[in-house]
Amino acid sequence: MTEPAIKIEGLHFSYGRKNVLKGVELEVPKGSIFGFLGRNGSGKTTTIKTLLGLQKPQGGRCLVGGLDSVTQNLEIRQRVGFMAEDQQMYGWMTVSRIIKWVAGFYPNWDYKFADELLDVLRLPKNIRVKALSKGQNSSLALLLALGHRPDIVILDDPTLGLDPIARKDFLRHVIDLLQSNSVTVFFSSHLLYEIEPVADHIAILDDGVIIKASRTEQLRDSVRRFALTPTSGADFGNVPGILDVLKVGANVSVTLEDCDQAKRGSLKSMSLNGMTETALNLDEIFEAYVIGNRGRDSIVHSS
Amino acid sequence: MRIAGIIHQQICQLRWHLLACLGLIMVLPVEEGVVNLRAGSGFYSLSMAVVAATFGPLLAGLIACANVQGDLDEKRYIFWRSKPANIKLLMTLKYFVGLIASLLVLACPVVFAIATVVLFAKERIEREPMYSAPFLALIAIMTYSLCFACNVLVRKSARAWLIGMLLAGLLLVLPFVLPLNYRDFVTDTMRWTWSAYLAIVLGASAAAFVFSLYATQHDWHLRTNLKGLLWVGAGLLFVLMMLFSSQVANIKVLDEKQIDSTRGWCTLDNLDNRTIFQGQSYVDVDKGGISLRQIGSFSNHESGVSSVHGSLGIDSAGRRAAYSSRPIGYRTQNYPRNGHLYKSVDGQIYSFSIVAYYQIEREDRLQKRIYEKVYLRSYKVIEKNGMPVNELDELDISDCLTKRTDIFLPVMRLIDNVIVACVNQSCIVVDATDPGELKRIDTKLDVLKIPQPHYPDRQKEFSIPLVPVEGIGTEERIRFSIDLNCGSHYGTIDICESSIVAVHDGKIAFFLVSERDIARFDVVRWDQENIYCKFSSARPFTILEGIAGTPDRGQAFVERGSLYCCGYDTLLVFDIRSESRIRKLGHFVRMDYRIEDIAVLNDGNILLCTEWERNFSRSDPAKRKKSYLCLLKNPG
Repeated sequence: MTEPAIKIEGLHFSYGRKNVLKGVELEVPKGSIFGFLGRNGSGKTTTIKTLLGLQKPQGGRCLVGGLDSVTQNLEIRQRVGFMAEDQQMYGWMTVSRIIKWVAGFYPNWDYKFADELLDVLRLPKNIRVKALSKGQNSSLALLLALGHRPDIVILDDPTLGLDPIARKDFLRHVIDLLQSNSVTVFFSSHLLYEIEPVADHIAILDDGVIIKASRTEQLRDSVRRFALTPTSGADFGNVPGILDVLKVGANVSVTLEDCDQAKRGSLKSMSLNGMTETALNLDEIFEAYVIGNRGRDSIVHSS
Repeated sequence: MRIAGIIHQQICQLRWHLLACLGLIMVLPVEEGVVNLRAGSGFYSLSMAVVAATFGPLLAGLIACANVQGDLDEKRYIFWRSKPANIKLLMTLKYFVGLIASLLVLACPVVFAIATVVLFAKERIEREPMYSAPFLALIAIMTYSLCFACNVLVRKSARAWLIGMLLAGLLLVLPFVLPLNYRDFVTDTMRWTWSAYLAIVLGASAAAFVFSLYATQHDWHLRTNLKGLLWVGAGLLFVLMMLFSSQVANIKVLDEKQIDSTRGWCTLDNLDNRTIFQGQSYVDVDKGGISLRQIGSFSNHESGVSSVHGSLGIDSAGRRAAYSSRPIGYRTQNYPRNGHLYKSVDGQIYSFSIVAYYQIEREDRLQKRIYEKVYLRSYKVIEKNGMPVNELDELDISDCLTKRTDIFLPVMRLIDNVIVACVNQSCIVVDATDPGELKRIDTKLDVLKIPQPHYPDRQKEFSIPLVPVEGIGTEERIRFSIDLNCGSHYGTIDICESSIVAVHDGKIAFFLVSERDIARFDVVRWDQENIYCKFSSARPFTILEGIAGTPDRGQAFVERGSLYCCGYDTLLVFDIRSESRIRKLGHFVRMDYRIEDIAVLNDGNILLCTEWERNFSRSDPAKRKKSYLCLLKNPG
């Protein structure tokens, strides 16, 4: 078995009394595009900062490309391309100046590749950074993250603040540039529809713990929503893998993970007249995992 | 990491700030140059360049904040921090680029001044004010470093600047506001003072620099709110003021009494170990505080109820009485100017003074006092009468003035029953056992040198002439000789009731107060003509003491193991019992008031006679001079 590109073991971190990460466990396979999902404030950026060695974990450890994030953070940053959310750069520098400035930090900076990226991303060379549009700014940040040809790229909510067209444009570039080069991409976002078409692995972080991590297709296949009219006294809380139960009039919408025939049978036994099954998109799956009620208070009483 | 790229980035980042600072710091020197040019002195600047350079430390703080503010914005911080940069090296480069820029800004007015003075000044200009530039550069390094560290921590430039400046101010003042014993240790010698200062400035700079490296490395970020910051600032200022007052105002005022005075100068004199005020009232101090009791009376009287004061001849209505014996066309001048020597015989109070007669003569538009005759007189002090009743002038010491002269330097001291009186270069000793019948014991004419302000050489032994008079003991002769020769303001400050000489454990020492320090000199031996002395130790005045006013131009005297030094509105008390160390005991400052006289009471407490200077008018009672008697707790 190949070593994962990123490995997080029992990661703990807190800001003062507030525990942000409570034992995060995660493995990112090499060459994958890994979607790291979580609500705002769930700890995504904190996890990424710890991966880059920008802050020391208070428990557990992170390995990036086999390097320890605490003791070898400089090496990690040389190997990793990182783009932060809503990244701000030095506005007074021109595009070519900032490329030169960032290149100074990397002994392996590929100037030719950077020039190619300039063309691909359609960035003007001699304009000041502060004069760039938001989309161009993101493109420049992407260029600066990729110019040294990293084998791991970490993108922390990179499309934050972009309009839908710019977002799609940006993602297209990410896919074009990275997918073909077998680069591992660790992509954090709270906008699931932008991860869905590109990510082959997904992890959902909620309240400081990973509540689900799997391949995207597998996740999509395993989570199902059922619509049924429940029998009196039906207790959906007893169904294993229940994620969410939503009452809509006399009917109930039940979301189940790891759906198999046994679980379907259990549900059917609680239905008066059969049930309908639908597949969910990633957005809905995320919602079920993050804000689903797990079948609590879901005993149906006859009216 | 490309070092040149980082340096280039920093210079570009700072370029507008540097230009602004340069504009600010150069406007005054250039303007002075233009003014001098118009005045025909040539295009040069000196005083304004020094003033501008003093702003250097403030601007250095601004540059420090501007230096890293661009990097510390939260979103930009993550941008460069995520690059494989050696943070310590990066911050070191940024720090030094900014520091060099700050020092260059500070150097601009200095270089401008030196260059313009050398090249364009039409007359020779002393460049002494420029010598403060290295000190300013040191301060600038400290303010820069502190502001740099604060900005790394706080990440808000305005707040960081304020905190940095506050810290720098505290550090500069701190050595001089720490508790007395610590400060005495620091300021035992001037070398220690400046060493401590240098250590603090450089130490604080180095500590701030190292701290900023670690703070950046570990992403330390102190979130501040303005209100909290203001409270902390106010708290620090309060602590500073408390520390300041503990050093400069640590003598407790036990009581204070306001007195309406019609006289020009308040006096506290000694009569049979009791203190008398203005020659009119005994000063009694008990649990109720200060009270005045008229001499010769057992009832309490407020001051202003006049008794007789011999030589001054003030009647109860406050009118100056004429002397019956004064020759026409002559005026009189008394010594002691501000008081008298008092002596009590069989319950009757007598006073003594030297009276000189002079005429005003004009010479080249200047008025000169030409002294012709001088008398030693004794007076009988009698209650209620407004005139001197017993004027004994049989003893003519006019021989002391061998010729008409414009110099009149009288000195007089009562030692037991003997009066030693000197005028200019001559001296007499008089038996005053019976003040009504003064008897001459000895007369020595033209034996004294005119005393000059004395600044003895501290490196080698020096001698003081022993006053060649008979009739007093050796120790008193030595004391009188030293006071006569070394009282730096002899002629204006009375030594008739006070002395700078201390005799402790059989050793004789004396103390001189200069604007720089208090120095102790030991008497090593003496012979028939001279007293031989050498420098022993010194206690420099601290900067804070300097700000509050050093007592080098006031009264200084030794009493009961303590040295009392009075400045215009300042009193300092020192413990002088140790041979090697002069230790400060207390400091009292009374702003806006002039200390006119001082007395140490029998219980050790201190009585000050102070005058509130404003709105003085003899004619308008509302604006009448206000005098105060202040009773201070002796800090010794």
